[in-house]
Amino acid sequence: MASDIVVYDKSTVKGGREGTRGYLSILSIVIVILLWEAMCRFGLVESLYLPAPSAILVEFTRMLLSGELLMSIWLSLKRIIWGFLLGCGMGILVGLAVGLSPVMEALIDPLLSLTYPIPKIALLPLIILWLGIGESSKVAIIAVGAFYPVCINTIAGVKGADPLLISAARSLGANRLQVIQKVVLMSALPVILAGIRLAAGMSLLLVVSAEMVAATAGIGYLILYAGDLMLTTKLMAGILVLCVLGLGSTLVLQRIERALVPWSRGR
Amino acid sequence: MRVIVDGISKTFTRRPGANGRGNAPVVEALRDISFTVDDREFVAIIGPSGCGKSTLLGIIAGLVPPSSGRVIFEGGIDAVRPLTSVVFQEFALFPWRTVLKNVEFGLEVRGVPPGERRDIAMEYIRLMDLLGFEEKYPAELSGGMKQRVGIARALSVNPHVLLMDEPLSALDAQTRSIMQVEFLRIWEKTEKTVIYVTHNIQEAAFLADRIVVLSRRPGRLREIIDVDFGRPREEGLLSEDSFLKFCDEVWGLLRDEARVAMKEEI
Repeated sequence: MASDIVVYDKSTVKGGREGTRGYLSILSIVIVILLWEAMCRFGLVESLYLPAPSAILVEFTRMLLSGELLMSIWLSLKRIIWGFLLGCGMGILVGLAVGLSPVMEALIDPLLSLTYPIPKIALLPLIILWLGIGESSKVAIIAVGAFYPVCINTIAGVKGADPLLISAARSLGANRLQVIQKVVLMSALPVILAGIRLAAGMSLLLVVSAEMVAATAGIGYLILYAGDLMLTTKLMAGILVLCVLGLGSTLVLQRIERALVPWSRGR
Repeated sequence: MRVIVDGISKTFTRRPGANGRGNAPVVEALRDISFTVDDREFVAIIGPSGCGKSTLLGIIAGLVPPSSGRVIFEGGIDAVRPLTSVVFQEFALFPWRTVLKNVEFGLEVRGVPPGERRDIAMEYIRLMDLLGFEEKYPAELSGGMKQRVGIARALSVNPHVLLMDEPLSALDAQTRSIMQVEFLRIWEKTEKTVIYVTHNIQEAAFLADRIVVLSRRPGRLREIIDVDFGRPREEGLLSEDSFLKFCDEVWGLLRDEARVAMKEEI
C-alpha cells in the first residue's frame, strides 16, 4: 500500500545506541567462560589439555598464597621495569635528537630504518654472548624492544608539531629554545605516550620470550616449566598472570596519560 | 608607529620534485608591494584567494623573510613592547594550555613574573569577555570563543602593531558579524595600528580606514581606497545604501581578478 507520509523518529531511525555495547562486551566474556567451564565439567575436554576456569582460579590462588607466584612476578616485573625505563629513556633521547636536528637525522635515521625490522628476540643469543646469561641480558633485550616504538613515535611527534603553532609562539616572542620547550615537546607528548604504550606491550612479550629461552625463574620460565611437566593448570595460571599484568600496565599508563595530557579530555 | 612596506617581493622556491609533479619549482607570490600604514590607522588588505596577502602579513610580522624589499617601523618605538603580534585565521591556540595560560604565553616567554603576567592576562580576558573561561582548554570552546582568546593573547603583549590574518573567516556568519562589531569597539578603545587581512569586502569596509587591494597571483598593488565612513561606526552602517554602494565599487575592482584567480586554481 502506498503511503503519503514518511516519519523519522526515535523508533524508526536506528543508531547512536552506545549503552548496550559495553554491556555486550562483558556478556561475551561471561558466556565464553561459562561455556568453557561447562565443557570441562561434562568431560568434553580432558583437563590435561584444557583445565576448567574454576580449577585455574583455585591453582592461581594456591600459588599466590604459597608465595611461588609472587616470586616469579617480582622477578619478571623487575626485568620489565628496568628494561622498559632504559628503553623508553633512550628512545626519547635519540628521538628528540633525530627529530630536532637535521644532522642527527641524517646520521641516525638510516640506522634506525635498517635495524627496526629485526624481530628483537632474534638478538637475544647475541646479547647473551655479550652480557652473559644473567639479569642484564634480559633487561637489555627488553630495553631494545621498548626503544624502537618510543624512539620512532618521538621523532614523529616532534616533526609533527603544527607549524602554525610554532609561528604563533615566534610571533609572541619565543626564542628557539622556548619554541622547542613550550611548543614542540608539548605537542609531541601525546604521540610519545602512545609509543610508550606500545613499548609496554613489547616489554611483556620480550620478558616472557627471554625467560623461556634463558632463565631459571620468572613468569615465562614458570609457564615453560609447567608445560614440560604437563601441569596444565599451573601453565594456565601463569597465562592468567600475564593477562593481569598486561591489563594492569595499560591501566597505569592510562592514568599517567590522563594526568600528563589533561587537555585531550574534551575531545 | 608608522609601518612602511617598501617594495616587497616574495618568491617561493620549491624543492625539486617536492610535490611529485612537474610543476615549475618557483612560485612568485608577491611583486613589488609598497604602501604606508599611519600611526593608529586601521588598514585592511584584500585580494582574491591565493594572492599572497597572508604571506605579506607574515613578512610584516617578521615570520617570513621577503625575497626583496623591506618593512620599516618608524616612530615611538618602545623597546620593551614587541613591534607586532598576530591573530591567526585558525586561532593557533596551544591546545595543552588553558585560556589563561594561552593569554599569558607572550608574557611568559618575555620573562614577565608570574603574578604580574596573570594580572595582565586577566585584564585582557575581561576585555574580551572571557571571564569564567580562564581554566578551560581550547577544545572546550566554540570558534568565536577561541578567537577571543586569540585576540586577547595577541593584545596581551601590548604590540605596537596588531596584525590580523583573516581572523573571522573560520567563524559562522552570525558569530562573525557579532565579533566584527565587538572588535571595532575594542580597537576604538586601544587605538592600535592594525593591519587586517581579509577576503571579505564588507568586513574590510566596515572596519578599516583604508583598503589595500591586491591583484591575483603574483600579488601586485591594485589600488588603495579610502573608507570615509565616520567613527564610531555602528552595526546599522552595514545596511546603509552608501555602504552597500561602496562595497559594490570595491567588488567591481576585484571581480575580474577573482574570476581569473578561480579559474587558475582549477
